[in-house]
Amino acid sequence: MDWTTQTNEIMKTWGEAQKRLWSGWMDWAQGASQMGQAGPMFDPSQWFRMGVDTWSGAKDGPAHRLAGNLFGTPEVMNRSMNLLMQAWQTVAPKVEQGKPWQPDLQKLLDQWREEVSAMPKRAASMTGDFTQLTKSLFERWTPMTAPWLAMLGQASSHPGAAFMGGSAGMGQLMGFAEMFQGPLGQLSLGELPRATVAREKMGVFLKVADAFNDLQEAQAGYKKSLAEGLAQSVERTIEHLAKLSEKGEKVTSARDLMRTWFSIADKTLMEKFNTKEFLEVQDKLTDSLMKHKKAQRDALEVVYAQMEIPTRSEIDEAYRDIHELKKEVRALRRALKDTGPKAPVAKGKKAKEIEAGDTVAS
Amino acid sequence: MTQFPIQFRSDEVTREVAEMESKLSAGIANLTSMKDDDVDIGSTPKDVFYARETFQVYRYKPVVAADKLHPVPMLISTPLINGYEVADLQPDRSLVRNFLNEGIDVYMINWGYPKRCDRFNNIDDYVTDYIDDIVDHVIENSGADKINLFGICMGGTLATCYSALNPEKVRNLVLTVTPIDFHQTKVPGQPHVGLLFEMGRSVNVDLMVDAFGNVPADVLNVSFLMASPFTLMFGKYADTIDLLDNKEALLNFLRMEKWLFGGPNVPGEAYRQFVKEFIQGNNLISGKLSLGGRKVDLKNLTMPILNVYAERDHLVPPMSTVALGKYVGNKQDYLELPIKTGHIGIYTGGASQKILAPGVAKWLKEH
Repeated sequence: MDWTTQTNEIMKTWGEAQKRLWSGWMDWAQGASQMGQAGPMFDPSQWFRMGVDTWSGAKDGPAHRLAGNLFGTPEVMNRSMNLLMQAWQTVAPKVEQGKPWQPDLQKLLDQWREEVSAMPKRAASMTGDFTQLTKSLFERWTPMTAPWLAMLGQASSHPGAAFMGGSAGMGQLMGFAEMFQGPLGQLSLGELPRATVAREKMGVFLKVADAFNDLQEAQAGYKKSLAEGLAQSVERTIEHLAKLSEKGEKVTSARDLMRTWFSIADKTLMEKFNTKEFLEVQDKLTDSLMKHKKAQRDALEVVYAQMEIPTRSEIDEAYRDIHELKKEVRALRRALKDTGPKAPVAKGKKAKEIEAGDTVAS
Repeated sequence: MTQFPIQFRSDEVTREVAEMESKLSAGIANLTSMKDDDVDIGSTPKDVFYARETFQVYRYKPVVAADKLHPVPMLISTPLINGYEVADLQPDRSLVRNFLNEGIDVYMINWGYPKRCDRFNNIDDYVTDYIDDIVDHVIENSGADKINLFGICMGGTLATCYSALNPEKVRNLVLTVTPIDFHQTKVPGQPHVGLLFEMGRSVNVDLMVDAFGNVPADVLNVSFLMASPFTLMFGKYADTIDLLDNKEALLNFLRMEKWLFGGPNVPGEAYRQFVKEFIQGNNLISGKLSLGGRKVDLKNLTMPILNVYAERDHLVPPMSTVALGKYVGNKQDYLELPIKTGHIGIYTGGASQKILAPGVAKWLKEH
């Protein structure tokens, strides 16, 4: 059997093995969940998703989908393995013939990188759609604000920033874009007078939209950077396999191949994660997630305040006061103890016996 | 002719997959016979010796006669970012049990699960109030005039600060996999070593704490997973298939999972202060750190110190730990004990069970 046929055969069996292995896990995880067990405990694919959910505060938000696309699903696991196998399929004939195979691999990976690089553009396109949606939505919000909201039809970037008078969108709103060329362009647009009773509150909501846009962009950048790392992992794994063939060594089981892939991919990603460029991309993503979360909270607080429900900021202020008061009480007690007659150390709660196996609640 | 390097056939893959499915079935059978309570961690018998706010202090039931008990009680200072159970994961892998068997009187802090109202607790509070309060109670309860302080990872950093501020209350200081120099973390050619510190140095912690309040355990877990994403999120679970049909092995696996992913959220201000002053500022060794209005001077560490590190620790690189030796005030009584294991393995690894507790106990008896 020639290498091309063998590779095709392996592609087929590998795909089937992966599908059965990971779908088996998923079935198990879901089954465990239905049995009342802690579902995520048994589902390896959930960890990354859970973490990003926490970061983004959205159970079905974009971060969730991003995580799912990258790490979180067996399908993606299969996809990354398929890329590896596809790469091997590409280079196998050349390796067999002892001819240079690296150019073919580079061509394939360049295609992959191009495809991934196109994702941010697609995301930007989605962002444009979203911006359009918010413009339409708020244009219809109330006739009272319509004259001011007309600017959104011309705002080039963030609708929220445009609302708050902090971007060039305000100039466009006024139809003065051309006028603001030259000396007038030096004016601080954010200082322009505000209008309509709802403007400040609307701005808070629109900042969520801005933060969402920024988050989309940061996610696209992160995804691209991570995909570059994966492409490099594939390249190194193929190099490893080619070296094995040169030495006459072989991989004899699907799981061994998987372990080889995991090991090389982890090492490669580690190098990537430690670069200044990747850390910057990651920090941008983290910051965007945090800002999005804060913008959501600010918007919620507007709603809560309207309903006369204590907001999180107000409760946090109370917590801070309590914390400071507790410290003062402790300092006073210590001062009393140091100056007065020696008093017995106050005991905490009455000790209770805990037997092996007991779960101790805090 | 060059040999084709991937030599597995359809029938072999089918057999391999069938075998895995068989193990999965057995695993499901095992799981259905278990409850989450069966996955018990931190099970060594103990009393709640002291409790305040979110934390509890346990005193473990001695297993030797009173006259055989070491006269100086040992307080274990645990990290804020993980559960205390790492020192007592399962009966045959328990640092606490090993200490008890060595005749040591063991107290351990369980910082508990901080709630939103605890978000303003900072490192000052933990070191100058909570730990100090706990030490006073242990001293009074035991009748000793000092304690032995044993630190676990970040709990070791807190113990170091406490000991530098209160040397008169600490007879011996034992540190394990404890970060001291937060800028000595990179090893050429080993990108996974010290990655968390690298990430921590550039993170906008103000934004994170302002957004979260308390920093969720899941956020920290993702950071840990990023140190080896494929292996930790897929490879580990693929390998687990081999032990699914072994109930005891499966239980042990789940115990570790429970500890790993059951950690507490970290009080926001403590996290902010730790990242800024320790990870980013490296103020502990530069002498710029002040807690409770007092300067933390490592030269005040005049008590005997045993500094234990894991040679294969990628989370807290050994060089970050052993840096302490340069700064302590009493270099004569400073000793390092390397163990050939990893960051968690030092407490839960099979080989370490025979090295860590016996080694510490022997050293304590000599001091």
